[in-house]
Amino acid sequence: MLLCLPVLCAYSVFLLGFWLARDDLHLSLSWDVAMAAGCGAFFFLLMLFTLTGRPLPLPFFDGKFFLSLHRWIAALFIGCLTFHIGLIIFTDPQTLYDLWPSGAIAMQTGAVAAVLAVVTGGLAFRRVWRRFYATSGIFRISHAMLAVAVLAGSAVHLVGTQVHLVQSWQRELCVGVAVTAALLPSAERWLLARSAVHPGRKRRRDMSPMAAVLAGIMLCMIVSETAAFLFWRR
Amino acid sequence: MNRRRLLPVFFTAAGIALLFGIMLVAHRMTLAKGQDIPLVFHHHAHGGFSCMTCHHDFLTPVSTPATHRTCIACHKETPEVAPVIRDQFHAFCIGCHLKQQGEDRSAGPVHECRACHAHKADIRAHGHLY
Ligand code: HEC
Ligand code: HEC
Ligand code: HEC
Ligand code: HEC
Repeated sequence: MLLCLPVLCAYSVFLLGFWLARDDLHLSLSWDVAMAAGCGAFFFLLMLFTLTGRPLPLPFFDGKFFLSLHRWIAALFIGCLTFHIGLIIFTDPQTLYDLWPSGAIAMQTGAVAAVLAVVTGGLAFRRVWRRFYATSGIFRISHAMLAVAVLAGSAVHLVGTQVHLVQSWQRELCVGVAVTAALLPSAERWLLARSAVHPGRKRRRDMSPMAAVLAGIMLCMIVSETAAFLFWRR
Repeated sequence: MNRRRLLPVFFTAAGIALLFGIMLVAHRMTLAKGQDIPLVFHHHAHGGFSCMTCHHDFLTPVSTPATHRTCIACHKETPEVAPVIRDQFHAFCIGCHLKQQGEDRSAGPVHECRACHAHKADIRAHGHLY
């Protein structure tokens, strides 16, 4: 539960920073909802870099909890992404023309990032990665590379489409947030190695079912906050 | 560490580079022809306006080396306005559409790039808008 409050605050800042500049940008409800889903997907992507599955001292001393949470957030990310893509194609089928090589490069970058996101997720199933990678260390390197590629592609998609990020401070914010997120896992590792608390030492009972509940609460919070935001801006 | 074990890492890097590479190269190759973004503009939709609202060069001729008399061609050939065609035309077309919308009158597209920039002008640009 402790995680919910920072998430709520972060998402508010996120919505305000990424979506405030253009008041005039409300085409139709389905278009707005599709964009909101994309916004949520990017947020969940950033969260995947924050909660990497590495056990943190807080809130539960349990390795499985964080891995489970990471999986659930990944599912939310892919879900939002699918919704974003599906709904925008349904609303405006001409979006598909952007897949043609001469289309908008930022849309193509987004499409490549989406493909990579699905590949990243697919390779991360235990049964799958065991088959492709000799050790978990190698899997982790490959997973990190794919994840950073997804993040970079998404950031280019956001900045390059220039639909919501129209002001330069917004673009700088987006790039800044993405770079920070990319560096976060290493920073976390560095800090944990030096901190006095050793997570995993004091194991509690398996808290991983809590992760699903937490992810569900996060989804509800973010959906309701987005709905309130849309209602306010329209 | 065994070198063969690291192969997946190289494959990952190569895969990512290949995917983005193909995208970029294909994009550059198809753009090299330098076509413009096809534009949708129907006079009949703008019949309610005086010709001079848009054809500003008609009554007050502008000094320009351009030989073409259509809007975009002339602007492209006029060095002072050529670099700002995009911004100027967006402001011009979208500005009027916005103004119309603000006054609750029927208006043209404002945000939807594809309503003005269609690959095929006869494809319904709006899709299903609810
Ligand atoms: C809303 C702005 C607007 C209004 C109003 C308007 N036009 Fe146009 N007109 C355009 C645009 C844009 C083009 C396309 C020019 C191009 O392709 O570069 C054009 C093109 C033309 C062309 C073709 C030019 C050529 O040589 O191919 C003619 C002729 C023309 N307009 C006449 C008129 C007349 C007559 C009226 C008044 C009844 C009028 N227009 C009103 C915007 C307008
Ligand atoms: C013969 C060349 C020529 C043609 C044809 C022409 N323009 Fe221009 N236009 C210019 C030049 C030169 C300027 C800049 C000088 C000026 O403002 O008078 C300009 C300026 C403009 C501006 C900016 C005006 C402002 O106040 O900032 C707009 C908008 C514009 N044109 C739209 C159009 C449209 C729309 C058409 C077609 C319907 C068109 N022009 C046709 C040469 C042309
Ligand atoms: C003076 C105001 C004005 C200007 C300038 C103007 N428009 Fe429009 N436009 C309108 C209005 C009003 C409508 C709605 C007409 C209707 O549906 O009754 C419209 C409708 C449209 C439509 C939708 C109808 C259709 O043709 O399919 C398009 C596309 C469009 N405009 C493109 C443009 C482009 C491109 C320019 C700039 C070259 C432009 N407009 C400049 C007022 C304007
Ligand atoms: C109201 C109609 C309209 C809308 C909506 C519109 N544009 Fe344009 N756009 C124009 C006109 C007119 C031009 C100038 C003609 C040209 O250069 O082909 C232009 C030019 C451009 C150019 C430069 C093309 C070139 O050949 O140099 C780009 C890029 C562009 N628009 C992108 C966009 C994007 C992205 C959007 C959506 C956010 C958008 N436009 C929405 C009318 C529109």
